[in-house]
Amino acid sequence: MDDKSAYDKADPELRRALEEALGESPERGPDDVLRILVLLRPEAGGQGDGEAPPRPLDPSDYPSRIDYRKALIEQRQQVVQRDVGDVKRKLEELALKVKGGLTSPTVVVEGPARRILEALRLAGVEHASLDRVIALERPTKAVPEEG
Amino acid sequence: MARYLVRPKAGLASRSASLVSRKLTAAARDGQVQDLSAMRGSDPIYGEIRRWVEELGVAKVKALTGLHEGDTPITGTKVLDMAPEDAERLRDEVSDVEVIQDRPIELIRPQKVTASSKQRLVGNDRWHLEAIGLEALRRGTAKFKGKGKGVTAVVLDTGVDATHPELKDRVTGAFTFDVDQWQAVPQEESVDTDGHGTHVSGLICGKSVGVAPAATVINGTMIPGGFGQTSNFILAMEWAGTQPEVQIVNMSAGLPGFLPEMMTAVSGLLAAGVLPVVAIGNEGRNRTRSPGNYVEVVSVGASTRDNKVASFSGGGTIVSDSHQYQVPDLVAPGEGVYSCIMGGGYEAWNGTSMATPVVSGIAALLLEAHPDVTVTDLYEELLLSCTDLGLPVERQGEGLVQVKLA
Repeated sequence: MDDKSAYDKADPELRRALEEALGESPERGPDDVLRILVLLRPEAGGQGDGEAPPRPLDPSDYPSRIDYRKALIEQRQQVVQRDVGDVKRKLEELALKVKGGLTSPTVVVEGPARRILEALRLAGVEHASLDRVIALERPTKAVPEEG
Repeated sequence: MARYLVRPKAGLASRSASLVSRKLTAAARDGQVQDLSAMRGSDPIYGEIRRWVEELGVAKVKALTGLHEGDTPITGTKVLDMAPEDAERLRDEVSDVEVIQDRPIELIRPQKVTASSKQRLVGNDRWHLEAIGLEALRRGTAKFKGKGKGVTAVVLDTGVDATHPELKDRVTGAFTFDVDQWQAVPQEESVDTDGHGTHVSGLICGKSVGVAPAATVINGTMIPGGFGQTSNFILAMEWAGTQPEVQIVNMSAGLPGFLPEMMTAVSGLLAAGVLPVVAIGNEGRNRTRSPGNYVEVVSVGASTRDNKVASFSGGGTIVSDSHQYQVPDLVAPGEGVYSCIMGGGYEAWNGTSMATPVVSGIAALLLEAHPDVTVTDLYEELLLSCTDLGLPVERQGEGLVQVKLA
């Protein structure tokens, strides 16, 4: 995969960060560490490709809701592992730190910019975004009605 | 050395300063200031200014305002004492920044108004419980008299002050999130870094203000001080989804606009049997925040005492993955809602953050009444329970959520 296709998988902030790190800027370099969120997908021909979703579990089949939840968790982990376990391993083989990916195919990846670009070239990487600030949706204090 | 005013030329705060409130009172000003401060926290230009100042060092530049996000929030300006040649360097090295030499300005003094703080709630202060039909249910002949016993919600927020009398014995755990170690770190005490999470938790399970006073909450401090990272979010979602005792996740944080990076983490929650209940945002019509605008969450807007949708409540049409849908899913009381404040007492706040835990509380009651319900059926029950307010769907969703239990 060429660089353009890889960059197309990045959100604008990540693209900018990669261009700065891998470009001519004297203050940035290819070893600059980035933390990103990566959405993984089953690779063509891989374990999860084309697999049907699992049979829905019925809560009434379990002695308690906690038991039902444990079964759902286990099922979910198996599905995610089947679908994207191979891609996750490939990311780790690029010497990137990979976290998450237990119950969803989104992982948090950390590593040098040059390795991040290699990661984007993987067919099993669908999209990546730079880690960013998420803010509280602040309420305001109510003003009591007069009178 | 001379004094300079430094600010982004067209930063996030100035582009998107559609404030929640347009009232010109000191109480409303407080909320406006907080909103601008939050928006500035996500502005990369502010971040670059701060880094530049830190690199220059205290020997060469003196910040007359703090170095952290949110100082001089109304003007959006940092005030720095530095040499003219350093001011010139700042202009050259940081793009999209204005560096203006200081000149005299006149301070604007706010007017003092009465706040809504109380030590005891009386009369119609608990109107939010009446509005969702809960008081009528308790007074009436319905068989179900449950209060959410056996149901646990995770409050992913600023923390929870478990010492508040309303929350006695209701907070069963407290965690912070360490992305570097990728773990939820248990805390010996449940505290609140800001106050927001305490107000939210009160509405879920507070003794008198809560919808489900027998439910319990776990404090997941995902946004200490009101700010976190999307990586915190991913960790928090994964952790909450893998705790078998958790059935509901309540969340009031988001990124402006429709940003898909957290979507699969949220659908992972659903797949693991956890209902995500998320505020839509407080920027008004046709503005929403992610993840509150995802199809996979119960997206909550705010209603008022007279059964209208609050003007600050977000909403709109989302197009994603070849589908089109409106958000929010429903509305719940969110304007002038009393709940707990840190250290004791109550205050009335306005926000979709207040509406969200009301829905989480109703979900807890439904789970107690129907312990064999799937999470998708639970979601559907919430939508079916709503009373149509006769307003556009992109304002009210299905309507005002109600407690409908036989």
